[in-house]
Amino acid sequence: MNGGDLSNGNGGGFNINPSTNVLATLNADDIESVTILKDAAATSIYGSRGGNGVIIITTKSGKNGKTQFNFSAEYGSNNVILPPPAGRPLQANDWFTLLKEGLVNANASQTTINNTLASYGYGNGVDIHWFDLVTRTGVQNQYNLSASGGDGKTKYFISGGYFKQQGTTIGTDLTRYSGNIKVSHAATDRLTFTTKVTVGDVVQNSALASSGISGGGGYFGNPGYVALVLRPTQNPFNPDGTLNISNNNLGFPAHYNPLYIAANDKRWLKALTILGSENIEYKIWKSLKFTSNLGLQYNGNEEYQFNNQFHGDGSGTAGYALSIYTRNFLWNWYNQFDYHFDINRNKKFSADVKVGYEATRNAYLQQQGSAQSFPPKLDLYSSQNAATSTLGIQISSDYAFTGAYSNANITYDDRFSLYGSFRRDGSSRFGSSNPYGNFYSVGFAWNVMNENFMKRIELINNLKLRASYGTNGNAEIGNYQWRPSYGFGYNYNGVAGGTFNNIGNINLTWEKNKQFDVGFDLGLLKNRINVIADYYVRKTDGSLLSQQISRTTGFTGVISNLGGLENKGIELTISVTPIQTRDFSWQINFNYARNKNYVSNLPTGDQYNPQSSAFLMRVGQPFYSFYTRAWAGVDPNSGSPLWYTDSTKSTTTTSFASAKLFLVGKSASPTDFGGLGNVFNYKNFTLGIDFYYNYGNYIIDNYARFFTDGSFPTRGKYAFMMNRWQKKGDVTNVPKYVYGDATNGATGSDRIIYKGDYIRLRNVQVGYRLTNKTVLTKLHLSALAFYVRGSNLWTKIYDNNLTSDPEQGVQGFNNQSVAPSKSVTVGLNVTF
Amino acid sequence: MKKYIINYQFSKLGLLFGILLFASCQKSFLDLKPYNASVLSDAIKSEADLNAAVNGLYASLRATDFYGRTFAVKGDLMADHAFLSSQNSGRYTGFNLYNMVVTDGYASNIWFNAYQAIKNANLIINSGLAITNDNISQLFSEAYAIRGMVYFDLCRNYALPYAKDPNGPGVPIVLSFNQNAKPARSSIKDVYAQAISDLNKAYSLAKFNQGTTMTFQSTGQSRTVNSSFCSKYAISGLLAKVYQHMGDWANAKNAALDVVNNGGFSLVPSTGLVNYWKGTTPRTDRVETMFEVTSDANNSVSDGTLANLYVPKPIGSYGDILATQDFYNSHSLTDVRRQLYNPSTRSGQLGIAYYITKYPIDPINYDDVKIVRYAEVLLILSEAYYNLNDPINALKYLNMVAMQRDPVFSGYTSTGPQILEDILTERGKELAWEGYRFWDFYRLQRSFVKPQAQDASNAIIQSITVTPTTLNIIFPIPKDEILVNPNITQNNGY
Repeated sequence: MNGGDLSNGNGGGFNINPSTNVLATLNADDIESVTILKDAAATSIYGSRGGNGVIIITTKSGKNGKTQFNFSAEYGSNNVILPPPAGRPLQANDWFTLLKEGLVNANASQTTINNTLASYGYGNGVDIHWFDLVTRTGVQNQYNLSASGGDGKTKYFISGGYFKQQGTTIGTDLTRYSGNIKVSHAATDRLTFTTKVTVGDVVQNSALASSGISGGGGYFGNPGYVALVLRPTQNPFNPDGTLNISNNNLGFPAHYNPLYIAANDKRWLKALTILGSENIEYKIWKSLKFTSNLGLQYNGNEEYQFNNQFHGDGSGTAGYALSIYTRNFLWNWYNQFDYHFDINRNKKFSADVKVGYEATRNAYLQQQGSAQSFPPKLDLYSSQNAATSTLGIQISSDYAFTGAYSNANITYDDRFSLYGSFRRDGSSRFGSSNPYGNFYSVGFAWNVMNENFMKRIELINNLKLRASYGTNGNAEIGNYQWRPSYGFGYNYNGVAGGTFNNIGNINLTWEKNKQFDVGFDLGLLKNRINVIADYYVRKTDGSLLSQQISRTTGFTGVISNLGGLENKGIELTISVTPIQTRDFSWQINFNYARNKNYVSNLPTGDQYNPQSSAFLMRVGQPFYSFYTRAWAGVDPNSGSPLWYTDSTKSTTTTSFASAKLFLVGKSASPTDFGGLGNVFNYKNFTLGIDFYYNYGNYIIDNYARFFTDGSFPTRGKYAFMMNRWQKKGDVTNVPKYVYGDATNGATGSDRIIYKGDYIRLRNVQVGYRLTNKTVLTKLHLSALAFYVRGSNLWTKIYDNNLTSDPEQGVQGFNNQSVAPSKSVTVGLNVTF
Repeated sequence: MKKYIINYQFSKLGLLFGILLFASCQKSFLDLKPYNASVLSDAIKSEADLNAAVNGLYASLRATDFYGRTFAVKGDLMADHAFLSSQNSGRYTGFNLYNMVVTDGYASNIWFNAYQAIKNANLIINSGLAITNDNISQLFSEAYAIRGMVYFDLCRNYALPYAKDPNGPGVPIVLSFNQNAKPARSSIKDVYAQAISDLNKAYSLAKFNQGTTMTFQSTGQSRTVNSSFCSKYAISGLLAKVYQHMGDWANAKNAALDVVNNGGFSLVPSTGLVNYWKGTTPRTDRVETMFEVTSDANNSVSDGTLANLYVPKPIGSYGDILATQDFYNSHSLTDVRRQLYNPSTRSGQLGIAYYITKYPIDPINYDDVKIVRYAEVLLILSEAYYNLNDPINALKYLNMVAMQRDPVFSGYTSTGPQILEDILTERGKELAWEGYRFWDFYRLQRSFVKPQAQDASNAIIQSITVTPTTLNIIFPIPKDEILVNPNITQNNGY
C-alpha cells in the first residue's frame, strides 16, 4: 500500500472477531486506485510477497491548483440474504410432524410419543421464526470530506471520513473514523519529500458472533446457525414479555436465547491502524533518481468479550471476560536508484533501470487476560469487577525480510519493449541453510499497432502482443516453523514444563512459482470492441506444506517444500460498445476466466491436504479434492441410506462402516468464473448492471448432521427434510426419519457436498451527474452527482439441494458463517 | 549555496542509509528466535531440565481426548451403566451408538496424543543424562512409568484382548524418534512386554513415595511428591492392572500386595467420600489417590473436562451422559457412593435423569483425573486371590472396599464363581465414571447389553448387545495413520 507492505496475517489479524481484518480500518473513499498484478513480469519485482499476486492500493494525492473540496454522503440499508429454500428451518407444524414420525420409526411407545410431544409444547401454538428475530434491516451511513490542492511546489490531500453500519444481525455494528494526509513538497528541482499518514479507527460490536479466541461458525449467535439449531417451539419471551432463560424444553436448556445474549453479552473490537510513509526523491542527474521510502504500520487492537453471569457461556463461572490487546508494528524501508537511459539520444530507444534494496521487520505482541466471578450486575461487565483472574500472558512473534532487486525495461520506437528483473530475497521464516531465494522474470511486448503496415488496416485500432516468464516466491508460513524446537508452556502442577514440540526443517526454503503468460490486447472499430486475452501456466514448486508423517512419531507432519501444484488457464475480457451516440451509449463488459488446478508432483505419495482432512492430495487431482464416501441415495424399500462400497460404484451398502472413502471427483475450486457488466449512459444518467458468475466448484455442509435426519432430533431441521422417505416405494434422496438415528446418513459422504455454481447480481447502479454549468455556478459547485445502488439483489443457484449461500470461501466449507447481505444505498457527491 | 548545503546534508543521509543498509544485510537480521522455545539439543542437560521435561510429559497426558476425559468416558459410556441423553451436545455419539468408523475423531486423537506422550517420554529416556542422584533416578523412573502406562492403554484401545490371542496385532512400539519411521504393529504380547519392562524399570529407579519431598541441589528448588506424580507404589498399582488384563494373577497379586504392604495408603473413610471427590488439590497424605493427572488455574483443558461433560447447566456444561436407573438403584441407601448422583430432570430427556456428580465443577482449578486409586488396587488384589483359588483373601479385600463405602453393609459372603461376580459388581460401583467398566467386559471377553436411550418410566428402549466380536470393541487404526504408514494393518472389519 502506497509503496509499503500491509501486514495482514497473524500480525494484524483479530482474535475475537475473526471475520474482520486490517483492511476494515481503511476508508475506501481515500483510495485513488486499486491495481491487481498477476502476471510474472509484473509481480516478480515484488519477490517474496508477490507469490499470490500483488494488489497495489494507492491513496489519493493532491493536484496542483486551487483548493478543491469534495463531500460525499451515502445512506443505505442492508438485509440478510436468506439461505436457499432447501436450507431454511422448518416451522413448528412440520417440525412436530417429523418428531412424531421419528419416534414412531424408533418404535417408541404411544406414551413415550405423547410425553415427548407434550414436553416440546405440541399444540400450544408457539411457532417462532428465528431468522426474523435475530436479523434486522441494518442502516448504514457514511460521510467523507476532503480537500486537495497545490501551489506548484507543495501538493496536498487531506480527508476525514465517518462510517457507521448496523449489521444485519441484532447487536452488531461497526463505526469507523478515518483520516488521511498526503503532502508532497519539492524542496528544490531535485529533491521532493512526500509524507503520507492514514489513520483508521474502528469500533465493532458483535455480541452475537463467533465465540472465544479460536472463533468459528457454530456458535450461538450466528443468525444462520441459531435460526437452524433452535426449535421453532422455543419461545424467547416469557408471558410477561421478559426474555425467557428457563431451562426446560420450551426454554433454552442447551443453546442459548440469542435475544438475551445479544442484549447482555459484549464482544467488541477497537482497532486503531496508523499507516505512514516518508518518501524522499532526489534527482541526482536528470536521468538518475534516488528514492528512499520508509513505510510504517502500527496496529493496536483491543478486543473484549464478556459472557454474562446468568445465561450462556458465562453462567457456569458467574460471568467470564476475555480481554486481548494486540500490537503490531511493521517497518519497511527501501532505497532505490532509477536510471533512464536514452540510448540513441533521440527518444526512440531507451532503457529504464531500477536497482534497490529493501528490508522489512514486523514485531507482534499480544497480551491476553481473562477473569471470572462477576458481581450480579449486568452493566458491570468490565473485568476489573471480577473476583478471579484466570489468564495473564504475553505472546510475541517477529519476522524479517530482506530483498535486493533490480529491473530493466528497454523500449524501442514504441514498438518493442523488453523487460527483465532479478531479485534476491531473504526471510527469517526459512531454514538457516536456505534463507535466500533468487527470482527473475523476462517479458516482451510488441505494440503491433505502431508498425507501418498496420496503418492501412482500418478495422484494427489497437493490437499489442505480450509474453512473459518469471519466478516469484512465497513465504506465507508461521514465523518459526523451520526451527527444530523444544518449547515451553507445557506446564504441570504449577511448574514450567517443556517438550520437543516442532520437528522443524533447517533446509526449508522459498516456495517458488514459475509463471508463463502470453496474451494480446486488441481494439477494433475505433475501440468499439476491445479484447484482452491471456493464457497462463503457473507451476508451484516446493509448496510450503506440512508433509504428513506417521502419528507414531508424536507429530502429524513436518513443514516441507513438498511437491508441486499447477494452475493453468485463460482470462478473457471483451468490451463492446454496441451503441454510441451523442446522448446515448451502451457498453458491455464481459470477462471470463477458466482455471485448471491440480497437484503436479507429490514425491511422498497421497496424503491428506494439510489444510483439512476433507481433502486428499493426489497427483493429477485438484488441490481441494473432496475425499469421502459416495452417497447412493435411499433404498425405496426400507428408507435406509445407501452408500457405494467403493470407487467403482458398482455395489451399495446400508452400512456406513462398509463404505470406503475415495476421491469422489468433486473439488472446492471453481473451474470457470467471471462477470458481465452493462453500462448505459443517457445524457447525464448512468445505469450500471453487473453480474458475477462462478461454476464448477462444490460446497460441503459441515453442520449438516445437526439439521438433517434424526440423529439430533431435538434441534431445528432443514426444510428439505419434508421430502423424507415415508413408505415403501417412495423414491427420494432423504432417508427415513428415525428419532436418535445411528446410520451416519448426514455426515462423511458426498450427500452433503453440493454444487456451488451461481450467478449473482452484484450491483445495479443508477447515477445522475449535473453538468449544466449555469446551475453549478449558481450553486457554487464544480460538480454534483447522485446515485442509487443495489448490491446482491438477485442470485441464481444451480443445485436445488444447496443449504447455504453459494459464496463460502476457497475450501468450500459451509461452516455456518454469517450470511452475506444485500443492500440498497443512495449517495451524493459534491465538489466545490 | 543553498543547493550545496542540501547536497552536503544529503550525502550525510546517504552515508547513514548506507550503514543501515549494510547492517540489515547481515544474516543476523534474519536470525529471529522464538520467545517460547529453545534449541532441541539443549533440552535436557541438568537435573532441573529433566524436571521440566517430566512436567512436559505429564502435561501431555492432560489432553481431553486422552487421560483428560475421553479414556474415562469410553470406559463407561461404551459399557452397561450409562447412555447418552437424547438431548446432547453431539459429543461421543459414536461411543453410545457403537457406530464408529475409520475416520472417527476420537480414535484419531487418542492415537496421536498417546504417541505424543511416548515421544516426550522417549526424549527423556534417551537424553543420556547420567543418574548421579536420587532425584534424577526418580525423574527417569516417572518417564518410564508413563511410557509403560501409555503403551498398555494404547494396546487395549486398538488391539483385541490379550487373552484372546497374545500373538495378534498390537500397536507399533516406538522407543526413539525417527521422523521417517513407518512402523508396523508389534504383537499384543510384545506391547504388554514393553509396558511391563518399562514399569519394572520405573519401579527399580523409583526413590520416592507419595508425601516425600525432593530437593534439587543445583537450583535449591524442591518438588513435593504429591498425587500428581507417578511415585513408587503407583507404579506397582499400574503393574497390577497390566497383569490383571493379561490374566497373570500371580504377578497381579504380587504387585498389588506390594502396594498394600509397603505403600502406606489407605481408603478414604465413608464420611469423607463426597468431599474426597470434590477436592481439586493433589494429595500428599496417601489417602486413596495414588496417581492422578492434575489441572490447575493456568494449566487445564478448559471446559474439556469430565465435570463439564457429566454435570449439567447451570453449574456445569453439558450433562450429556446419564446413569441408568437400574445402576443407581443397585446402590443401597446407606452406600455413600449413592450421593455421587443427582436424580433430576433434563429437558429433552424422558424419565428421571440420573446425573453423575462425582466430579466437581471448579472452573478455576478444574477436576483432576484419577489414574491409580487405592480402592482399585484392593479390588485387583481381590480378583487375583479369587483366580488363585484363595476365596478367603478375595473376600477380605473385596469387603475392605465394600464395607468402607457402605458402613451398614456386613460384607459379601459368596462362594465359587459368585465371588467374581461380586467383585465385578463392586468394581462397577466403586470405579464408576473413571473408565473401568468396559474394560472388565473386554478383558474377560464377556457380552453385555449397552443401553442407548430410556423412556418416561426409565425403561431402556434402545440398546445394543455387545459381544467380543462387535466391531467397535476396539478402535480402528486411524485413517490418517493408515494413509501415511503403508506398514500398518487395519483392525478386522474396519
